Amino acid sequence: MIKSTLRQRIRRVRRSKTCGMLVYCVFVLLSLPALARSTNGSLYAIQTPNNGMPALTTPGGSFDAMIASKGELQLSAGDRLIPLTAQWEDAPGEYALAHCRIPADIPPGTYALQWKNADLSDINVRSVFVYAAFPEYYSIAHVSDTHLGKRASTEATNTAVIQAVNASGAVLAAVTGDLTESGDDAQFRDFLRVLDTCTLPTFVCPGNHDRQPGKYEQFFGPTCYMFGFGRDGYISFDTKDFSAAGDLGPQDGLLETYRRALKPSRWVVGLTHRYEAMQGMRSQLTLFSDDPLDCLLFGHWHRENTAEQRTVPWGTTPITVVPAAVNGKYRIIDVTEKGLLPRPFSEVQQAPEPK
Amino acid sequence: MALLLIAECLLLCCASFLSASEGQVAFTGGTNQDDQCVQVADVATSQITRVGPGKRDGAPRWSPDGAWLAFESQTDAGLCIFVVRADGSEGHTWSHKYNWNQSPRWSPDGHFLAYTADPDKGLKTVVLVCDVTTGTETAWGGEGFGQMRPVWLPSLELMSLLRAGTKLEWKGVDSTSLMREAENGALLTVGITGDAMHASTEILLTTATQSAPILSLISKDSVRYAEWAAEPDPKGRAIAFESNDGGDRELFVLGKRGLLDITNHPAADWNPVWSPDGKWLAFESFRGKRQGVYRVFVDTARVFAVDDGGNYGAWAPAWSPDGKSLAYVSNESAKPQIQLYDTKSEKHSPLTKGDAYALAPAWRPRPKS
Repeated sequence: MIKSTLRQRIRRVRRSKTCGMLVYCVFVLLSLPALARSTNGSLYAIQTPNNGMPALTTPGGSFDAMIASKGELQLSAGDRLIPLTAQWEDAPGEYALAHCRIPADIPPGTYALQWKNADLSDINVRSVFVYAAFPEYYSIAHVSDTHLGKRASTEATNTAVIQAVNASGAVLAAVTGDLTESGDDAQFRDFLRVLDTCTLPTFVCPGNHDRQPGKYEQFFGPTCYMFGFGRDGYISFDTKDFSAAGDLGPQDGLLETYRRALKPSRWVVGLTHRYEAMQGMRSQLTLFSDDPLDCLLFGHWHRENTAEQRTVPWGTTPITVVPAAVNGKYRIIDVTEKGLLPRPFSEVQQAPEPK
Repeated sequence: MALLLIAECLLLCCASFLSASEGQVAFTGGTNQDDQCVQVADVATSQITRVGPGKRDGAPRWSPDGAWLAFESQTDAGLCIFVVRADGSEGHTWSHKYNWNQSPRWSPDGHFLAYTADPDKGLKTVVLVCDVTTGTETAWGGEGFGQMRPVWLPSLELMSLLRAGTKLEWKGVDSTSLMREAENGALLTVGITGDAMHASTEILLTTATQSAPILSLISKDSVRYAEWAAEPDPKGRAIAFESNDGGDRELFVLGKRGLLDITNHPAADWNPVWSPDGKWLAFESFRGKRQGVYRVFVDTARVFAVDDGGNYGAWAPAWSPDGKSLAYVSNESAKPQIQLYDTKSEKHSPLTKGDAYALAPAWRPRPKS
């Protein structure tokens, strides 16, 4: 599903060798980035974890990495390099899946994942977060509709939102779609620049404005995934375009697989960009009827949900809609023994439009 | 070199012998949602013909005589039902009452299409029946329920079977009139029950002016569960459907032996598809590591794996007209593609491959002589 730029380059290199274009070959190899993503900002060899879908773990714990091919893996933080032991298996689409074991004596903190295979290397910053222990009760930040590229003031306003989130005491941030205004490479790069000012793990999902063919996947990988935080589980999924959010592709099966895997969790939270009562009935049966989510967080509306819009119609799952970050808004949600308790949304001052 | 050529020829002969299935499989596919196009693949040659407009084309459905395909496709007016011949000719749509129309199903005589229309993107969806010749749309089922996912009942044999032990009466419904009307055509639909805050689903028997919850005739508990994907067998003697009765999604068959859970398993089972002889159901299940395709012999409830989904996922089974093969979607290459499965040899072979994905296979019925 994900076409890595690395594989394209390897193919290009092979073709060029076949044609005897040695000069071109050298040029391509020299143009490979030494660090972090491809030159256009898209993912390179390491697909996941990345800064939009990081791994959360504890010392002695483990995480999975999806990579273009096998290689040496290590974590880095500043000058510190920590080699990882990995068990590899083949994954669909000629990818390699690495089951990585974290050393028991690793200091908690934020790490980059590095990969090396012969002369090729890659690094995904802010992609692995190691906790001494997951807290029992905590807060999360919900941000949505950053719309990078909409106007000149957007980046400053969104950065101010992220700074406020950093200071909020939340342990992770969910950014639920419409990351960009129209899904261009430059807008995704702008979004990444804003995202990397966040000191928390950031989990993103695509919105309707990000829907240039394959673009979101190039920058962040899977559009549907799950992760755990302590006793709780989170499922991030793609609500696609409403008119065609049908039951034909792989997502419905993934949602059932993830929902089943997270069944033992205390709370299971859905993260998506938008919700309409009639979109994709199969996914709605899975998430709201058969095994209802404990909360669904989304954006898209650029406003809060009203008192009448407290749940999805198919059952009991409460919804929380956050107003747009492009307008300086975000929300902190407390995860408690009683469930997810959203606070009133917060607001930073919007940056003025440049003259 | 000559030996290699001979060996290759022998291999090709073996391959063609193994993939003895023939016919055509329609599917929708593309490189992204926007250019998704209905196409027809020849099983013997794997040659593919694009037949849809290629604008977010939905799952194709063959007319009973195999002459036409129907599916939803996007136009400036919204999501329309599009009808086209298997070679791509005579493609057309018609003026719809509502902007959003999807999931078309042909009547047994091929003269009508039933589909779901969404007037307000809310819970009050309606089922429309269209005369394919004139393009005239009529809303079916009365005002009682929001309705969706219509499928035609080929006969009322099941209702006759039920009548033997059950009183065919519904509260608030003129039951005699409903059954009389059903003789002129009846649908199974999924009805939306409850209010905007507590909605659920029920399987309905739907006619031109009325609808009634079919499971309530034999089970008072049916309102507690969410049913979906009701499919009558080819003769209309039984209905397969899925329900979350039992804690997870299971396949049930309502027929002459009453209501039976035929896929009882702790993992979800869904999307039943009858074989042409009505003896088997293909379905999707999560009893393996991932979403997989299975088939169950209905009389004994014995389940056989077609593709357990490995670490990739498999779904959307469709039977060949002779019931000997299945087409389904496999995500083994991380790009969904159509696979064929021979039930006798248990061999798999790819029908599509490449950079584009392929979804929702539908095997062309044999033309009736």
